[in-house]
Amino acid sequence: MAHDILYVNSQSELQPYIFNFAEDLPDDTSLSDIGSGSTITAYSSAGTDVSATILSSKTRTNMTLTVKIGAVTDFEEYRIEFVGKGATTANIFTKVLEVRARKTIQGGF
Amino acid sequence: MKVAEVRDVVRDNVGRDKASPHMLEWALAQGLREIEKTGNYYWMRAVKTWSAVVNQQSYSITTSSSSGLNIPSYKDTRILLVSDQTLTNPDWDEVFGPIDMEEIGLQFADTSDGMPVVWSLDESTTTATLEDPNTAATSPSILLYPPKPDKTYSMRLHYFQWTTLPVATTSAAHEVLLRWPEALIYLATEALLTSITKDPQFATVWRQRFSDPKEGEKRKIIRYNRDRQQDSRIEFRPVRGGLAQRRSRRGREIWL
Repeated sequence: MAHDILYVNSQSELQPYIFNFAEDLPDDTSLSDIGSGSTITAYSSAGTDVSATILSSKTRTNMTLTVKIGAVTDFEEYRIEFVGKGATTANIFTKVLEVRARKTIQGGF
Repeated sequence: MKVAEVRDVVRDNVGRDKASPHMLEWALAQGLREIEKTGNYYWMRAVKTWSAVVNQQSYSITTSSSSGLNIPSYKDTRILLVSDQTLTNPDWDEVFGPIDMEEIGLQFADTSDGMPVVWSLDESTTTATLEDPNTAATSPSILLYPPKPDKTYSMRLHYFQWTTLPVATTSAAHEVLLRWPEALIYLATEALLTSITKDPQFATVWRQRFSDPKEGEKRKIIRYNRDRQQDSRIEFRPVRGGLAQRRSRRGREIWL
């Protein structure tokens, strides 16, 4: 079950998304840098790593991981894994964002 | 409809985001399975070609062991053909069957050899021992008669298989998605209403939309399937004369 669900329009939309790990890694005050333990990875519904296609501007600030999501394919359903690694404890917590690319039903009710 | 479009409709039928992705995937798979349980449909047709082994009678259908056919998705049989490819102009002949092995076993000696002419389908061991399907430890097998093929005959099994929906949600590459998405939506919704919202009474409404004998999707699928299955057949019906009234009577057709 994803921690959150996001609808993204496939028409050149670029949405930033932030996950805060402060409550999940209480013994840490900072996360390891992206690429040094913390990661953000996107998978298509077929299980293919599409991070290079739809993710940009990956950043870490204290206990948060931020990424911009765009260039999605209409009707695709992505699973984006945010892996936060505590800089002090080296504990790892993974949060999952489900992204649905929908041109027509974005915006909810 | 694409997989994602079906998922969106099913999601909203049960209440948006009540169904987690794994339950949604299960519901769609369950829906497709329920459709295919009701019959052998044209999109389930498939063909497997393999070679008989000299002196080997039994061939596993679902595994590859001992020259098995390795068809894990096997559901039902259409027809089995055989060909002697050593001939100058090899043609294909039907191997009649399946026939119960307790019946056909009476017609051949254990040492009879030759081109396969009859076959049996049973849960069996490689020594062709009949097993109780409830407790069978081996996969279902094709048994050829005469029991000892004398050549490496080419065999071709036309069969029906259980199908699966495409993994990618952007895809519509399945006949049920293209032509019968309503049936899939109805049965997937029924599955989720029963398992997630615990509302079997409302679930029966969706089942009814599939299985209603007059207006249900199942009836439409079966009728269309009947037409598709008869594409290659020629029907003899009297145009005039005393038997002309038979033209409208069911069960009187003569098929080639």
